[in-house]
Amino acid sequence: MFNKKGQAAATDALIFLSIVSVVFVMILTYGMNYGLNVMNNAEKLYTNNYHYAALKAFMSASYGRDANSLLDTNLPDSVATMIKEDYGANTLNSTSDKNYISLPTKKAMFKVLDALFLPQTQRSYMLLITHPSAQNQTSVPLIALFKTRVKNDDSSELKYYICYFKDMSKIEDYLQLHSLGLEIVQSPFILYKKILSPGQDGIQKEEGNIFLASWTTIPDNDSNFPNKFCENFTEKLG
Amino acid sequence: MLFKKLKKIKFNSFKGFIGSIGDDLPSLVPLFFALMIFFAALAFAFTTINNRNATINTYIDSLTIARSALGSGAYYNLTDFLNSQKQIVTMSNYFYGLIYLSPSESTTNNFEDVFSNEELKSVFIQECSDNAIYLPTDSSSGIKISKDGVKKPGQPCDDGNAFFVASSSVSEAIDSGNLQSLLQDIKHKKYFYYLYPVTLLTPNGYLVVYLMVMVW
Repeated sequence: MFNKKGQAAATDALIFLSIVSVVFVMILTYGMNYGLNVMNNAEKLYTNNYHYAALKAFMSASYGRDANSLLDTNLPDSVATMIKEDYGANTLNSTSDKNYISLPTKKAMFKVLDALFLPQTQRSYMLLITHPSAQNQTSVPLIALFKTRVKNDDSSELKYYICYFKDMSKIEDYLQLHSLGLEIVQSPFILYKKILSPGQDGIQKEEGNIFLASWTTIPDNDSNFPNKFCENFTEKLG
Repeated sequence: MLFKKLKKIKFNSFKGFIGSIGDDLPSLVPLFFALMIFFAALAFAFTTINNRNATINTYIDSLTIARSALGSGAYYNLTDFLNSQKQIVTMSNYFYGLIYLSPSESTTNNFEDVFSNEELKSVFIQECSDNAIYLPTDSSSGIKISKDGVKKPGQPCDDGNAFFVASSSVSEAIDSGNLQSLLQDIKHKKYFYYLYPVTLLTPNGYLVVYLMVMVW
């Protein structure tokens, strides 16, 4: 009976050791994971800040009206102004959405976007401008510019696309498929168009939006950009 | 009979007895280990949490500094750029400046590329006294944009100032030419390095350049 007291003490100590071991593992796990969420969120905040900075820079950046870079042109102008001027000038006469924005402006948009994403080599991007539809004033895509990698047989190729979707659903579907590291920022984008209807001659203000999205590049299928809505712009960029 | 019984009890009670501590020795060993593990875990946790807290504080500080430096994201001139420092109140070491990334050249994603230059200020864009802008590039010569046009290659300004801001301690290290000791200091600490796209007004219009921020 007396000898068993010693055994009980040793058993108690072993139980205590096992409890402490569990506590040790818990403290270790807590210590290792402490602050990781904050760090991850701070990293997301940086990505978000980067995209807002990129969108602001896009709105103020200049480029050549002759589609030459700012360092090679004698005709510099704000890209945002070029878009608005094209839209204002072409909505009256153009029969197709594809002609709302001129070719040099499209080139300038892509070149500025490329300059904005220079350090983000692992990311693809999309710039979308929306405007109110003529019928019910809901927001519809005016133009969407994509830069992404497209699968070849056993490799991938960098490609630029311009799409003229009729509604937002196709863009939403596309972004859902590219949600890895997806970041979207937006800002109001005021457009003006000429109107020539009886008693209403003049300039009409339209409240559009501009969206900038980027995601970690996953090579796409060419079929993600249907010919009906999209054109491959890679060669036109030169 | 009673004596025999007492003798037996006494004999049994002293069987294997070493001493008051010696008798508990088998239980003291695991107890000692358990306490050692417990305090070691506490010490580890406190050290890790303290280090992580310091890192998080610097991280958040770095984002605040970067945000203050960003301002509206478009700089009219050097004075406009330098004014951004007035918003910054911090104990962290930092420097930030405007750099030009040429689309045709490799991008500067690593701060060590910046420090590979003997003169740190020469990495950043310069504004000359005649409002011309000089863009240092990866190649030996840069680009100069003035009212007369764009010169490639262009010469750095003789009397220019770099779009560059640093905390007081970093400025002192740079001015005294202790760039290498500064580099060693940064390498041994947790540092944060960011690039943000911004625009800078040149005689030719708003050019896309990059705000490079380094905090440690």
